[in-house]
Amino acid sequence: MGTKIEDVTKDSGYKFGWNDPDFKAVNEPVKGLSKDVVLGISELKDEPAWMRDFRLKAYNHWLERPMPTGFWGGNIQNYDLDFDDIYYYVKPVAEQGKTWDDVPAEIKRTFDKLGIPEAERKFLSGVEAQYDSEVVYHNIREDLKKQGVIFMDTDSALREHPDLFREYFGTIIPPNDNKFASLNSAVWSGGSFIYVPKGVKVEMPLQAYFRINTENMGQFERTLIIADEGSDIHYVEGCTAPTYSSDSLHSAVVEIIVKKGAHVRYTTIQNWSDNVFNLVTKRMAVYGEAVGEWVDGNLGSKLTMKYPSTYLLEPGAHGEILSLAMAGPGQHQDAGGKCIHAAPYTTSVINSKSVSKGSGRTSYRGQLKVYPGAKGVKATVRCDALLLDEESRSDTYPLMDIDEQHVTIGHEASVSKLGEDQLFYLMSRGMDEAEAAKMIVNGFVEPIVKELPMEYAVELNRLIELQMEGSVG
Amino acid sequence: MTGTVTALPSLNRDAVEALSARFGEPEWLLKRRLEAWRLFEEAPMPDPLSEEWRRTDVSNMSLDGLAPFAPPRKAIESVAGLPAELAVFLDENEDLAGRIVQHDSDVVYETLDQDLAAKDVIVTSLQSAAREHEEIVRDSLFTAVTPAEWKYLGLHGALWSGGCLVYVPKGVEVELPIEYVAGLTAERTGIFPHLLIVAEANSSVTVIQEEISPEITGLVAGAVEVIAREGSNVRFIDVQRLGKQVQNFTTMRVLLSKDASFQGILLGLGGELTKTRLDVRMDGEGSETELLGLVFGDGDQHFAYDTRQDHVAPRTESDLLFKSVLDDSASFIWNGVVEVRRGATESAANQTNRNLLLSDKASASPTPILEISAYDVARCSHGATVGPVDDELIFYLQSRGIPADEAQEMLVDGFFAEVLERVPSERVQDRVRAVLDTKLGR
Repeated sequence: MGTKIEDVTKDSGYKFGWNDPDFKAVNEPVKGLSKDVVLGISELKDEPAWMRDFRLKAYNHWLERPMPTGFWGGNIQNYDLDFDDIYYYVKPVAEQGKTWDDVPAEIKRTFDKLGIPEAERKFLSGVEAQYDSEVVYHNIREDLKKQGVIFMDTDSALREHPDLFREYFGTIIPPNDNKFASLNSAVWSGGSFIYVPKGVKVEMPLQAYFRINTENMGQFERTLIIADEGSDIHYVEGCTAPTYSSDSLHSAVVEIIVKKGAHVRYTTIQNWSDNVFNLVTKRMAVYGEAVGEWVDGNLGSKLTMKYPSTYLLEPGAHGEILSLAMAGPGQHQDAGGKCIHAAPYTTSVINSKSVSKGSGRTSYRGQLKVYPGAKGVKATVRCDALLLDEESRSDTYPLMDIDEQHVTIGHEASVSKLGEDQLFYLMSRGMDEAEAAKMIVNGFVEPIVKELPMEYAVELNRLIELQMEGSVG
Repeated sequence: MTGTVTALPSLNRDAVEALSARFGEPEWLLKRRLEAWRLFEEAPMPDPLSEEWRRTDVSNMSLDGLAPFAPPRKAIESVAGLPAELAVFLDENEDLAGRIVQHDSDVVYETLDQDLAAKDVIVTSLQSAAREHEEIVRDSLFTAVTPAEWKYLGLHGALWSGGCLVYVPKGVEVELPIEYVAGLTAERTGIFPHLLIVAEANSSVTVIQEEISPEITGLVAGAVEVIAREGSNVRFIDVQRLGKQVQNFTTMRVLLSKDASFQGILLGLGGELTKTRLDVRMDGEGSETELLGLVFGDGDQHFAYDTRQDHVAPRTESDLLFKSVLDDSASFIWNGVVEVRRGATESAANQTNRNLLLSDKASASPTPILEISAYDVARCSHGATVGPVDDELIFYLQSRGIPADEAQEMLVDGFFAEVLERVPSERVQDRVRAVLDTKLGR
């Protein structure tokens, strides 16, 4: 551990590629996955028997299931990701920090550099920070706590709210859902647990920040959000990691329940370093008249395979997926989303924008499914892709399964290059080519960026600019 | 011998040899057939879990008890000489440049305009071409599609018979359409029609392919190869009017050289299970493709189309429009790929798919796929929609005094018109309209 990352990142433009060489895990991490590793995690966390059994069952699924090939996914087999060379559990602290001062100095330094406590003071209702396998800091505003809002790391929730936890955990994404959901279910650690009581509207976002520090780390956080009837919550997550010469793995599971009339928005700004495999399963169950939204920005990682899903289960449910992907050299963003209409009069919108550059490849992969009897469904999918140079590649794989007559379904997609006319026009107004290209890309992704809270929009625009550096000319 | 029933020939390697012997084929052709048989035996049946097949019920795709060919059929003087169950589909006097009629495993009728024959245009059964135009057949047959592609194409490679070769020499323009009819009347029998079109530089030709049968069970597993050389122009219309218990698998591939253009129109009306692969490879700079499809499914008909617009060379253009109307519990699948390969700069591609559902149990699954590796694309786009007949339009027409069911028919006709009007043969338009009328019960 401890490749000199400054040397590696010097030219990449990736701002978060440093690591903290002073960091020492409190456990002795072992590489590779075995039954003992799974049992060890459960024991260390002092979990109830049902969770231990859940993990073991999931571990068996992981062993039994073949690696995904074919239609769903970015063909993980083409990479030399070695699952035996991964640390499945790295415990950063003996105990979670209640105040920022409790967090060990070397970890605090990391999050200070990333601007976490600052952000919390300014515009968040609560914040949580995960470092490798565990949440090291977490806080929520007192007034929300008083209203009964629960926001804590998932491990603590298992201890402190066992009944609520057990009622929902693993119900939206069962451990045998797919190979990587099995993996997560076997070795999960950390993540956020949120419960918003009936009618409570949380005005400012709750934020979680995920950081991988250890080389060859596997981070497997598990997030469960329950928005009770008529409640409202916006959850934002950000992710970064150091740039190492060997690969890390991030494989999260996110389950969300949006009850009658509630509104959940889940925003991700994924900016892993480009040695991280990001293989994530995210799913929302949306009930009557409720609204579930994914805002999914993918800028980092080596390979991302992530298709946030909304299951519209009762009449009037609405799902929305805004997906933004940028792939630079060596990156493959295999992203998109699924809207499953299982009830009449449900509606959904998928809007995807992707930009490819260098040897980068973006793929939109989506599914629109309408079950028989789901009358009056309205769904639209719109995908636009922009190619910045000759090396880049863009794919669109939208699946549609429509088993109902009385529906209105539309899909449209386009792929285009950076418009020469637009470039020419901007340059004729005195801009240089790089500036003009940046402006065009910013305009292209604008419909998605404008959905972000201001601070994130600014950050995202900055990240896009970094990605765009040196892309023209 | 009275009282004995002739057993159907079995589907095995011996059948391949017997078929080749029946047509007195040259040794090289038999060798190719046996190699295809080997590939067929090695190839797995379609995997019901794969993306391509998951919505097709492959469980009833069985070759058990299927005869690999029918008993020989005698040559006829005119199409009126066909059995009534086939003759009903065809007209005797039509403005055609040439016609090849295949009944079961044999071509029974061949005709070609004398002037065209004088210009060295060849329109003949592939079976006889293998002897009389050996060089053309040997060099071109199975160069566009290959028996290794998938199981049913392996079977086709081993057992094709009859068939049709259309060869148009350099610079020759064939004005009237050439028609190739493949008709099946033998019960529980497979036929394997093969259409090979070679259009030399700057030539031009229109070929209509008809697949027909009465209401029997059976299999039609065909292949179409189009080799369009520099500057040539090929139009191809496929009219599938098979009986509703016939399974139909067709693989079509078109290879376009520089500045060649291809228009393909697929009209899917019959069959129990129809699986068509249509792949156009634009190898030559400036080549162009237009693909049109029209499907009307009712009962429990299932239609699956896989199309590929493969842009290999720069400045190539393609446009696809597929429309389906689905009634009862009919289902339609379309997987359409646009691939723009690295180096296919300044290319443009479009795919549009529209599906009209007339019943609660009907379903449509369009999957338009873009794979773009060339930066300098002019424009690539696609769109797909699924829905019922627009209630507002029905309401509008009703307010003008048109009853609801009639209004619906008018809207269905209008929906089809966009494709049908682009079919460059009024005769084919009329035939399709007649089938649509029957399906709509009028």
